Amino acid sequence: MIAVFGFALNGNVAPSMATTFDSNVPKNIQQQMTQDLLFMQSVQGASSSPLHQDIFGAMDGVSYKTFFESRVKAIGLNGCGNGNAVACVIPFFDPNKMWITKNYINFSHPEIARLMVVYHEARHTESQNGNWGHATCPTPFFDDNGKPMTSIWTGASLAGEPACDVTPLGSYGSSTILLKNISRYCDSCTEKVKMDAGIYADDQIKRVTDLSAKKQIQQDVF
Amino acid sequence: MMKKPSPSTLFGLLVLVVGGGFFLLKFNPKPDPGFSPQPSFEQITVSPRTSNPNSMASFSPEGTPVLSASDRARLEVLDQILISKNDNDPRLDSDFKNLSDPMKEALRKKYRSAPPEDRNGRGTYVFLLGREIQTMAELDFFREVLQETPCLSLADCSKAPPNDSHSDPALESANATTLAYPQKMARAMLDRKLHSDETSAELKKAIEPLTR
Repeated sequence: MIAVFGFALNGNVAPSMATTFDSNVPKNIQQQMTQDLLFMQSVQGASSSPLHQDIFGAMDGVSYKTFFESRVKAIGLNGCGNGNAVACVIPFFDPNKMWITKNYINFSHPEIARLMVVYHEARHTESQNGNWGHATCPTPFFDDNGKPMTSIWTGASLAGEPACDVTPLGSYGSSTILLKNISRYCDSCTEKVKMDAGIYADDQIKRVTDLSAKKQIQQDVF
Repeated sequence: MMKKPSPSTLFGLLVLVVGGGFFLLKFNPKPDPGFSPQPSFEQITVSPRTSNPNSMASFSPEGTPVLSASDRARLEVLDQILISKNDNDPRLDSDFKNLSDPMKEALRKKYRSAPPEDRNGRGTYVFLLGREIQTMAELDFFREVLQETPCLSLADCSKAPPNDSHSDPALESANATTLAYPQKMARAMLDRKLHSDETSAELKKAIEPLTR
């Protein structure tokens, strides 16, 4: 299929998307992801925070489209090494390819949560920034209620695991900033999308463990 | 001159009066002002006695509130939206405000009948109901949501995911939030109601403990 904004000899090109899907990505996953990304292209807001402008630009669908398509050239199907993953990037294999799993449609995530994962992973494609590799979570590692932060998959403590960020600009920080801006400033979003964005942003910021970085995000948009 | 009725005639009249009264009581019940119906989903039907299909709730012969035709149509729209997984469908805002009591009951029933793994579906029902909280009685549903047994995994809420020592914990953060999404949405909507100037002091007092 020849699309207006993109053309590929192999794979499928979604309308208004330059990113291609490998042919083995099931059609229903392609459709869902395309729908989700087209939603991002429709997002409009009169305001955005300074960090949002640094990372994404204005709250504008064109900005989000450019951000994504400049980083992710292709989307393939992969288990991501774990039965519970939704998406991943494997930089040493292909720094500009995102891999998604069947959980993209099998798991009942809100739409903005799927997009949070996608934009989080898109940040990891930036080889020039060391792929924004995660920092080691602190030891001990507690949530706001004083409970140990543990893996929902293994039950093991996240303390000492490479699952945190110490910069506001990494994958957790940037997706937090993206979602919190949507929750506050999106004019084209439903109330549900905005509520969801706030809920997921409030959880994502917990993975930004450097106090200065967290404070920077909080002062920026919280 | 008026003729005095015979005993048999009097008896017949008595039967007529008693029978008529019984008939009226059976087919025109006075709604119990304290009635808090929990109709089965099958009882939520279009009222055949409603001339205006868009009218507010009317009651079935048994005294249970029934959905109007417009409410039934909106429920079908909601089903379509949830199947589409398009949370930005504008009808979520345009079509689901100022909900009738039968509509709220229908949404609560939708929540309870949805598979636990349908986290987004359940959270959507909570969102729609949370936007419409008007009475303290409605808080019972939110208590119910908040007190649910935690969902252990998105594939099967009743089972913890397989322990995978090779898992990348950085990939799981969205899953962790979604596991608790209906509860997080409940708290978020209650918190919004708590801080709204339009919420009465009495309702705020009842909501506050649920937000801790």
